[in-house]
Amino acid sequence: MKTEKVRNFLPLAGLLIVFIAFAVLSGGRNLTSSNLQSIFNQSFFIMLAGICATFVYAHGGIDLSIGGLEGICMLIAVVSMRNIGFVPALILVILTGIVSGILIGGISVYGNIPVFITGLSLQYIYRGILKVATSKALITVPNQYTWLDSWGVKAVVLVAAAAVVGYLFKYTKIGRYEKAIGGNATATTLCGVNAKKYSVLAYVILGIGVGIAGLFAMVRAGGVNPQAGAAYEMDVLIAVVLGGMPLTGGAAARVRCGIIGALLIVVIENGFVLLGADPNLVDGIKGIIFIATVFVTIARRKGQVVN
Amino acid sequence: MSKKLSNIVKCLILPIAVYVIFFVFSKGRFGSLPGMLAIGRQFVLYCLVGWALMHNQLMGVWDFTPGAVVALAGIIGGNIALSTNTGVAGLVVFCILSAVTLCLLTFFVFHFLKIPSMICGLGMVLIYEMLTTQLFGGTGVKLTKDITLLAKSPYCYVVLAVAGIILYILFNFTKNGANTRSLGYGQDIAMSIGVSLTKTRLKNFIIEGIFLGLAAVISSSQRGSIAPTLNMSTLSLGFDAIMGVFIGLNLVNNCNLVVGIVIGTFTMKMVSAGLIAMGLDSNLQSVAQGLFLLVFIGISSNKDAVSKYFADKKKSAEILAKIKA
Amino acid sequence: MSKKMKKLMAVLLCFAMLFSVTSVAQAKEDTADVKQVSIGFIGWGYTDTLGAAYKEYFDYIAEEFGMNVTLVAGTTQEEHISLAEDLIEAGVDGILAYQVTSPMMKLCDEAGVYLMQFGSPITDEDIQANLDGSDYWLGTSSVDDYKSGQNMVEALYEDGCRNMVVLGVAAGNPCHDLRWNGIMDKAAEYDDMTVIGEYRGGTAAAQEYSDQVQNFVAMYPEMDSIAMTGASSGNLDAVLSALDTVGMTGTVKLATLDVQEGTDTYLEEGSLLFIGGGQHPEVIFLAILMADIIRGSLDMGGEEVSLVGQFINIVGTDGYEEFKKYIMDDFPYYIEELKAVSTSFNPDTSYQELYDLWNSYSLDDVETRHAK
Repeated sequence: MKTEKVRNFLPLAGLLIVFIAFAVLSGGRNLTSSNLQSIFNQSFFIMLAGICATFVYAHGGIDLSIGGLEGICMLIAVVSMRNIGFVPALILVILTGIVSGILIGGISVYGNIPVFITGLSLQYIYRGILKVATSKALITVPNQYTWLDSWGVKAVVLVAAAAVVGYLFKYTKIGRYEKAIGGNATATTLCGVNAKKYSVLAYVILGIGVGIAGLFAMVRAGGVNPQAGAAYEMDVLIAVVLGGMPLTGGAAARVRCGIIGALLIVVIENGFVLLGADPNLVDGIKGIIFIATVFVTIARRKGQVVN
Repeated sequence: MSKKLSNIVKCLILPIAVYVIFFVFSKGRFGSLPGMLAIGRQFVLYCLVGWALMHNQLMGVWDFTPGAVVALAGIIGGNIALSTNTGVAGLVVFCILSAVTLCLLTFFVFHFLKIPSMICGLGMVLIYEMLTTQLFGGTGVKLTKDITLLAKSPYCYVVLAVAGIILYILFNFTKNGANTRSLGYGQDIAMSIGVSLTKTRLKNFIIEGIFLGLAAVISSSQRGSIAPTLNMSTLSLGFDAIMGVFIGLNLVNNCNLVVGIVIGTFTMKMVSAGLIAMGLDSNLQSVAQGLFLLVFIGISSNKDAVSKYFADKKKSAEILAKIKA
Repeated sequence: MSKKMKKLMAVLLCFAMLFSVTSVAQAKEDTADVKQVSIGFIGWGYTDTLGAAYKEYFDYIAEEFGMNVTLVAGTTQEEHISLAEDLIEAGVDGILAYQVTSPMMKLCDEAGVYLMQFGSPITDEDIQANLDGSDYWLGTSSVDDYKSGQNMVEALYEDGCRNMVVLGVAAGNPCHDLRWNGIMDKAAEYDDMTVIGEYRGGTAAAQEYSDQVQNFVAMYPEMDSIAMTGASSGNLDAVLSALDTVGMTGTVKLATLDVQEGTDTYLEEGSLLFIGGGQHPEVIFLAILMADIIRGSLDMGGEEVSLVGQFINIVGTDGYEEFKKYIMDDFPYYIEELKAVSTSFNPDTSYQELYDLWNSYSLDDVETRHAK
């Protein structure tokens, strides 16, 4: 029990250690209120997707299409906001996220296709569509929506998302079933749970989160181009694992994993820029930090085989 | 039809269907002998990478490092071969040695530090890519024409054939192959009857290193050079090869996995070439590739369910007919 | 692994982590006679020919010009905004970026940091309108990638090529997009020239190009030329090796940009017909201008900077030796020449003189100035 409490604290400890290390090395530059706001602004998108991805990772799934989905949602958001306004844009990106979640969940679960392949295939499809739509020119967002890029608005959205997802995950059967499916899908099904339905639902929730993140990302970027959303799926995957999420799912899954991991990634990237690090070395050092952090923080049972 | 013949037909349906579709839609541009030979030369690299990943993939280990290992091993092996003037043989030896060393490093980090393979892979990709920008002055490697022989036919096919035979033997006729299959299909049971996970993984990473080393030889010879690379841009080589592996896994009821990967990889390269032959916009090509993969894997994953559905329907119709009679 | 071993590994990894982080921290001292200026440079990467040349040139001039240049790299617009934020927090006085957007301008406005774009002019009207309203927007520099795309096609056409394949990187890189558009538009001007196929590569472009060139050659036997938007990161070697593999060296002609080592061999073989490059000093001029403005030694009077330079083109074997001697193996502009057009070091000079120096850039110009 004590060991488990210590283990739960490790990802946060890792974040604090890295933050303090950069604070010392940068002479306190990363402690300014404006820098902290920047860190929050930058990590918001990964945090939002990481929070909503909790259900997917809890049942042992993965979604490699969210980078392409984010790009598509950015495209839909900018076109909608240019022509019909913010609220319809928000509704459309949420619907897009839902449809994408149903697609990937439905195809994987009901179509018996490995979710890795479904995600990769959908990624190719989404990226292709995005490139066709945006290859001629950058599509920009009108100035009147820049208020969406403020940290205050994002904080409200994030807190609301965390509250809703946290409640669903901890106090409703959705969360219990997702963890149960991750723990033992066969046993869960035999207990009468419609594992397939809840698996699809997890991807739908993630899709909604990515849709909303896409809208905010578009406003932040000022528009959309063919590269929109590139590598987003890897950022979210790394974030949740750094935050302590077990990739096999189960009871150890926590909503906070996405939040801590996202902050850790951004603190590291922010720190390297503050230090003026050689850009050719930065990635390699990030790799060392990732491996070191995961080694220290990841929960392992004695004798457990890690794949 | 005998079972063997039936299996052969089932395996070849996919590549033949792809060939016919693209031949028709490209109005004959696709499918000529030079075109198929070009596809053949290209598929060698991806087949080698697919084979490299095979053992680990069967055991549920996701390795994202193939692209980075191929790039880094190519740079190290190529530079050493050039500086020691050891020609093609030197290129092969040093690329393989470099790739095996890198794969062993990945194995050590993954197995002994007990880090999930996906994350380990991503972290090692970042490290290996960084190394491509630091070693040998960050200039990568540029091969002279005399040591790029293995890119050309028939030499690349000789490499592929030899590698394929060795892999077939390793996978089907060695203890390690059997252990890999047993760990892949039931890890807990296999370990409880005494199969050593550590030794099996170690051997599989060495095998992976050997094949990735060969892939580095082919890649650097085909391209004439390997440049330093960052931003996880090497991931795509692994993803492309994994698609071939998944197709191979879907054909495993009809043929050996080694052969299945050949079919899967060749088919994916035919799709890529076929889209070019059709004159499709390059942006739409990625849409088409994604759709193809989904459709194929969907059909092949569900063909038994579909057959059962029609069989059940037929049976129930027969029963109804009997009742009415 | 035993508990003791695990603890030891954890401690060792933490030390490795901290050591690697500290090793990249760079401290710059104030060595020049002028006020130190800190500039952030947002590029796409520093492993390709052009990015590496930028890095090398900045290393050459930074200390002499009293500049502390922080190089960062990103591919998406979202990344650029994050990098701009981080650079501002790092205390830069100005930012040079290859893709300026309205949010980036807003960040710079709020922080009082100057902003310029290199590589291409601003083409979006909405973005331009936002930039015009800012006191911290200084302007752009460009090297006419669009015209270079056209020049490639012109060279191929004049050589008798009529059936062309176009290879490019994935859409979204402004320089390459301009080159692509230039290629396509010029090809459309010729009634008897056809673009028989196109391919835009992903992240592993070199391998993809190698594969697709073989496909094009096999499936389009009428193909006689390739226009490629960028030759660096191994693309040049990949395409020409592929042509060699299928026995098309000298038969299919290639036109591209970004000159690099070994280009002479390809030019002599005849497979490479046209290559342009050497445009890297562009960012140096921009950085010098920015530093002058930050220090207050140059007042643009509200006028936007608009530097225009050109590629140096090599057609056939003419010019490569000189290009290698004066552009690749040396700096096209020495410290003294650059200081002569910087108002921080030469108060008698002007923006126009700097503009003219860069605008007159050509191989002849560099040879005249640096004759050896």
